[in-house]
Amino acid sequence: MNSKQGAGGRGQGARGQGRGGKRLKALVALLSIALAFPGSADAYIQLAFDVGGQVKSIHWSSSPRWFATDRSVPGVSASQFQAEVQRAFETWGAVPTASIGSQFVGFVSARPSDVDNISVFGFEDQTPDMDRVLAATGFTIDTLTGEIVESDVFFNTRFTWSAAQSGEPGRFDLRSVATHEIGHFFGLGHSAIGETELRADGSHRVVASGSVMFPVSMGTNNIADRTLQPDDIAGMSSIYPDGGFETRTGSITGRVRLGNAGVLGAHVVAFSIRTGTLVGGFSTTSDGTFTISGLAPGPYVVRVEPLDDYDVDSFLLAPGVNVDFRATFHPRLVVAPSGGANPSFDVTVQPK
Amino acid sequence: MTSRVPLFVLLSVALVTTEVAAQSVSPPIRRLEVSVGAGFLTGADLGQQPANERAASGSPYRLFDTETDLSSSLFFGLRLGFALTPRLSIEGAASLGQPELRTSISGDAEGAESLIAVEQMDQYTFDGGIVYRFGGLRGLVPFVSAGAGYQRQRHEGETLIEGGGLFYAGGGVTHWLSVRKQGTVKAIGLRGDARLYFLSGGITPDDMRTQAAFAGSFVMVF
Repeated sequence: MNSKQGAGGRGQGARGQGRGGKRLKALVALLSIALAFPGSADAYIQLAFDVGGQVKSIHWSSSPRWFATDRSVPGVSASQFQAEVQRAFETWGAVPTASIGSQFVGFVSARPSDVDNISVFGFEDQTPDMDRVLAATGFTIDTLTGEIVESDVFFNTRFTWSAAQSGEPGRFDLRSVATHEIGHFFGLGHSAIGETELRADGSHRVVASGSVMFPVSMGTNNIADRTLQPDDIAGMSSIYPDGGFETRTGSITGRVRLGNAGVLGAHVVAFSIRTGTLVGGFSTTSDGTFTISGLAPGPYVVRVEPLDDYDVDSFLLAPGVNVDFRATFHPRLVVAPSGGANPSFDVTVQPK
Repeated sequence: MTSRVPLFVLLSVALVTTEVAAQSVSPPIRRLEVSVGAGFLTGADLGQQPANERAASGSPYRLFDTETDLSSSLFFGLRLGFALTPRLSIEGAASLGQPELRTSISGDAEGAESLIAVEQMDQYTFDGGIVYRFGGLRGLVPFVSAGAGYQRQRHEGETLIEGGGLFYAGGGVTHWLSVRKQGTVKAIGLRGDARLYFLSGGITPDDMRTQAAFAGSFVMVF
């Protein structure tokens, strides 16, 4: 059984507010009908379906084949578009601990929004209610197996785009945004490792991020998200492990507690005191259980914080996400073993 | 409690010694030398590591700061030696300590309270080396030592065991309390050691760290 689903898109700075946000939420909500929470969600959030109580992580069972539309926009020709998307695929394909491949097939006139059993990347006109969504990824999924049958990515023509090597003022870097969307394309959800600040108009802008999969763009003339960060690499490697990834890395698992109750939707970050890497995850059950996978063996600082309340839906869609507690550090260093998980522990947080 | 240890040692000496040779400064050679003792291992600064995100401007954005050290610790050890000549011995030793790995966390961008996150480790050290003794006086024999070995660190919860290599150089003095020609125990003494360890691997996989150790032990020669 196949069903057309939508997944997270990448927003402009002001994303998540206004009509654009509503439309995106609707797309995500479609996915969330069965997405719910994986039993043990990894860092970043791996997209998954809950079918009859069984969690099905979405994934490609073989290297996906993709098409590009033959549409150009000012500043980016169709061939430039294809080349930039291809480079973004190659960025993910170069992750040494993940086994992912892809194949560009050719140009088509089909639109990314068409349900046609082919995966299409392309520019597409969007309605005004999408005025804060740069790009988005949709799926057709076999809900029995979680296999992705089709995944389409549109880039919103309401924005100006650049394929320049070093970026261009006033234009969004196509390759950076494509790298984010291809993360979705392969089954990754959003990461919450990042900071935003409120603008005067009520929107938010990114101050910093620790993951390409952070849901808000770095802005125009910025090519930083062409480069993957440890959180992205851990996420993709957990879905498509290769190179001894599963035996050479470990997991940290535990529960976030507020009083005697579990905390749902807490953002948990593991920080390596050796390498300085940040890998994130979420508590995804009502008892506050979280798991962060793909960690190099060694001791970690564990930090827990609430999701930004303006943007909870970008990460988790479920009633009862708790954002009313203070950021805190766990008072013990937690050790990720090699090829397994640590003994579960509780992180106690305090109310705001 | 500490004052009872030397009393106990002295009492032991009195009980097993039948032929005190106060002027002798070296035990019989080609005999097994067994030492048990305890010591103090200094800590090590493992450095700072900021938790940085990538700012839109391209510069690092500090989420919080960390600074990690390995605490000083007591250890207990067993040493086996063999005197090849009156001057030169070979020896091997094993010791166990329980230092803490401590990470001081501060400066959180969202106001999380600063604290020190701690983990206790079991630290096993195995080493071997040579000892060169100088001429002694009144039962006191100074020596220098050097060697190499292996350190094994078991993290809290037995989740991970890491190992690394070490070199050491040091010196000390042995005070022979009794040396005799007959009986099972040929000599008894007290030994003090000071060592400088150069360690790599384990909790510092990419860096060399230096730690000093000071130990005292009870020595028997069989």
